[in-house]
Amino acid sequence: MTVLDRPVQAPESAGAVRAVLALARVEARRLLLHPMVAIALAGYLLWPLWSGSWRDTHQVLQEVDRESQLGPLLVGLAGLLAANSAVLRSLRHGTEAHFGVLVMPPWRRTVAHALSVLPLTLVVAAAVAGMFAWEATRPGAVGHASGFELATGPLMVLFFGVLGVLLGRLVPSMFAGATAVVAILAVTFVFAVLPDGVRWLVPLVADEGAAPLPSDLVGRPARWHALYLVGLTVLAGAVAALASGGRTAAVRATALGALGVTVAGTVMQVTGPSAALVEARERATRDPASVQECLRRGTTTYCAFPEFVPWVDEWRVVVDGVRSLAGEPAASRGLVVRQRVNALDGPSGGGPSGIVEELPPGPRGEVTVSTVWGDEGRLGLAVSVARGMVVDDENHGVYCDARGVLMMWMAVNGAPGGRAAFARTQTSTLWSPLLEIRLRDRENAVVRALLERPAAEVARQVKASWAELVRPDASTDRVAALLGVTAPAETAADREWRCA
Amino acid sequence: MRRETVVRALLRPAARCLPWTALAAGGGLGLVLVAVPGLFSPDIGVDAVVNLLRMAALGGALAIAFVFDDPARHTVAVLPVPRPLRQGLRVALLLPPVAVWWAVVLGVAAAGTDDVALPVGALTGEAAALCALAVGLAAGAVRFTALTAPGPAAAGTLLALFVAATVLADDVPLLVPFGDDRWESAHRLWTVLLLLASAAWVVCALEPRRRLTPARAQPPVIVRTGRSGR
Repeated sequence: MTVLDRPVQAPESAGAVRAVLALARVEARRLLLHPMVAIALAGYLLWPLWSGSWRDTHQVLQEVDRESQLGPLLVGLAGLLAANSAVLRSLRHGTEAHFGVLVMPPWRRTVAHALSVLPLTLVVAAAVAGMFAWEATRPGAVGHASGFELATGPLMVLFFGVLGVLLGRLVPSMFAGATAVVAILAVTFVFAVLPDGVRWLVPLVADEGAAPLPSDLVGRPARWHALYLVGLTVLAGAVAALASGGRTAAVRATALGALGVTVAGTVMQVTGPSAALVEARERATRDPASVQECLRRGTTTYCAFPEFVPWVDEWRVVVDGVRSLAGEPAASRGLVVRQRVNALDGPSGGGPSGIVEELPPGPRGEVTVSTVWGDEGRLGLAVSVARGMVVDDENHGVYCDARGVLMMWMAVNGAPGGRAAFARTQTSTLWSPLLEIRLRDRENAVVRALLERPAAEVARQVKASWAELVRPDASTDRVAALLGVTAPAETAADREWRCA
Repeated sequence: MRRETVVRALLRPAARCLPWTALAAGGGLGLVLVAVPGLFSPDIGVDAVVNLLRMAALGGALAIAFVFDDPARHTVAVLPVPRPLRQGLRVALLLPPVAVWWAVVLGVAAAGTDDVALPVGALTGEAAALCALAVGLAAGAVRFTALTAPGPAAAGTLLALFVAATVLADDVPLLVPFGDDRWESAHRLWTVLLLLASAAWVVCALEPRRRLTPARAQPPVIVRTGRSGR
């Protein structure tokens, strides 16, 4: 009787390890071919083609790295369900009792299931690496990616898979896995605005919305988050092994070690940005000149954060395009195009005090360019430069006179592709990085009428009467008469604007 | 035997077979999700509350996907009680507690956001469509496979569909933000979905004229004949 009191422990041997690996191999294949996982993988790999994002240029790599995490999250959730289903398969098919007579104890089977997630993880890691390599070699890619951000996606896949194994060992129904998926989706996407201390406990922290920051100002604790995920993964695996009877010293030690790592990662990732980083962000936001590189091209000086210098020649095309439409003296006046960011509440800022929602206007003689480039960025810069040429003032305001018409016309004509972009939008607002040019219906009608006329002819007329057009007292009727179109009457909606 | 007697005799066993644990877990999760804003961040915004209610509805619907799980399916199949009656009974038994749970969820959510009116009717429509989809998928799994537990497959499919609708939100306007231009048309789509899913359940509940044969035990030709039988 005493002999049968405890289950017979299989001797530790190379054979036991080989058996675990053999089972892991079989389960890994089944996991990869599970319908949910296969569909999720296919969707993840085909998404860039479907959405057309594979054609994007001018990527900022410190954004690309963290955008690489969403697809793996969904693959990981499919992996969670599939791994959960695999662990419960023997229960579902009533073969658990047959496994009971095998030499391999249940906890080793659990370990094999946990290991079976590794190949899926590697597939996702290869996909992340491939997609990143593609984006990094696209024209105009700038910045520096973080390896830890790129690793977060695959690590999530591994964690979710092992979590599926753990849930299968704790709850003998696949409902637990499905509930866990809903919970993960809810905390990741619905509670998007969690307080700083809690948000990093969620596997994926998106930080969307803000303009890209220079990579040395990004304050995301990516390395500690990766450590946290590794700790959680090992912890989940060890607890699953413990729950299925693997109460050996090694498993206990692994669980304890993983708990320590998880706690360490948790603590480190919620400490927030260092004082030096906060100071660097303050400086980059309030006094960008002190950290920028400036290049002189003709009468224009371009100042950019060092990583963004490769964009200067493309900025130049837009700036020169808008400048060539201006009359003297504005056309040959010195101009500084300065890149500016609001780094105070940027990616995982944990911004201290004085959060500025919007950048304050720059000094006279300077126009602002942002850290986004592409079609939208082109038009934005054109708006900035046109405003600099015409009013040289980055304060807000609606110009209900010749200057409003002139700025809009110059921006749309100066930017490559600007006319097409403006024709597509039915609004009367163009956004520059700092502010928008907003027109009343009346001025908007004049601009649209001007765009109907031959551009070269209008450009000649603009140059000829430049001095009169930029005067604060030049009315909309006057600009319409000078440039050969008619202005409609002021509408009731027009009169409600507060004009500058 | 008269049908009433059969139904009365079936009530207790059917109630015992329902996925109460799953419902408790899914319903509990839904309640926790909608209670969080009220407890911790009351200014979360009506958009987020609408999305939380959707997640809660999804949690409930996932539990309902397990409604036709029946380990004794193959033994029960020989009884002279038709499948529509058995399945209808299960759904009928499930409806009242689910309705009460949803009312509580809505109440908790409304208590968390007392200054804005939630689109209660529209969200109830979405939740009903999700639940009908769960029932329809489970009935489809019962109809076209020999599974005794169609729940996991139905729940997995439902989850995949929900995630797909989220990812393809621009192309498939179902999960639109509250106040969006497409809100009305989205809810017409939800209504269509509810009707289609209910119809799918009715069609799938009917027993095929021939017995479904396990795929592996028979040559493929016979399997096809078996599956196409009505």
